[in-house]
Amino acid sequence: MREMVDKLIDELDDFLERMDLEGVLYKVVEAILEDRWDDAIDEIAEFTNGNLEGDKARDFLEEMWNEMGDVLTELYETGELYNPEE
Amino acid sequence: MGRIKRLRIGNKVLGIKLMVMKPIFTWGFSSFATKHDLRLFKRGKYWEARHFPFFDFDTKSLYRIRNFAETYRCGYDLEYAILQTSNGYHLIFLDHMMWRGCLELMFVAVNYGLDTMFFRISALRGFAVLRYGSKGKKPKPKLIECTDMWSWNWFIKSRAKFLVMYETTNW
Repeated sequence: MREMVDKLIDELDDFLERMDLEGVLYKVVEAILEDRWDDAIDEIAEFTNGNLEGDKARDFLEEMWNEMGDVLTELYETGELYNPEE
Repeated sequence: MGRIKRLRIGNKVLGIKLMVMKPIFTWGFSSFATKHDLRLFKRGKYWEARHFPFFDFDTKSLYRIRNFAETYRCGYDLEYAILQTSNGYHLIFLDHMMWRGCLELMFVAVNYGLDTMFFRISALRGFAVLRYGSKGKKPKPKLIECTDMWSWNWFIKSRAKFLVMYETTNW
């Protein structure tokens, strides 16, 4: 029983990791702010292992940017956005 | 990074017509109050982690949602926002609380006739996720009521650090 619970928790943790954009957000925001949309799209394509790429990835990013761009820019400029390379 | 893969096959009209739905990527945010709370969650301290109470009600009964929300606004000064979705409403209380409190609120919602699959999924996961992006042709959730705009703006700002993307389907 305990093993089953541990396995379930591992699955749920894995699910959270797969959803969380934090690891890719810094590069995406940086690319968009530097008007390198193609690079931002590449980051998203890599994050989804190619499941979301091209125009669909662009639409996805544009919608997110329209809604959250101001906040993400502020977080980026104040150094509050997590940079996995630091 | 693992591949997000979730494909549903549904039978429409008692199995006469089989439909394979096309997966759609959308985005939203998770309920963790701060990064500290996410760290607590990852260390297995689920009950101590704080979350924003999220609800996704598949109902057209806005008055029930408002009644439920007002009870807690009057009793505990919990400001709230209601967003209209393609299939119902999102309710977000604009302050965080321990996960135990969030689940208790969800149980109370059941007594208001507001039981949803969202509750069951959230209880199993130990956190909640709300869609904020569009879902294919279905539009993004639209803010229709908010008891305190300052709190709403503070909430949205806090969610930028908890953005998630996921694959879903559009029925």
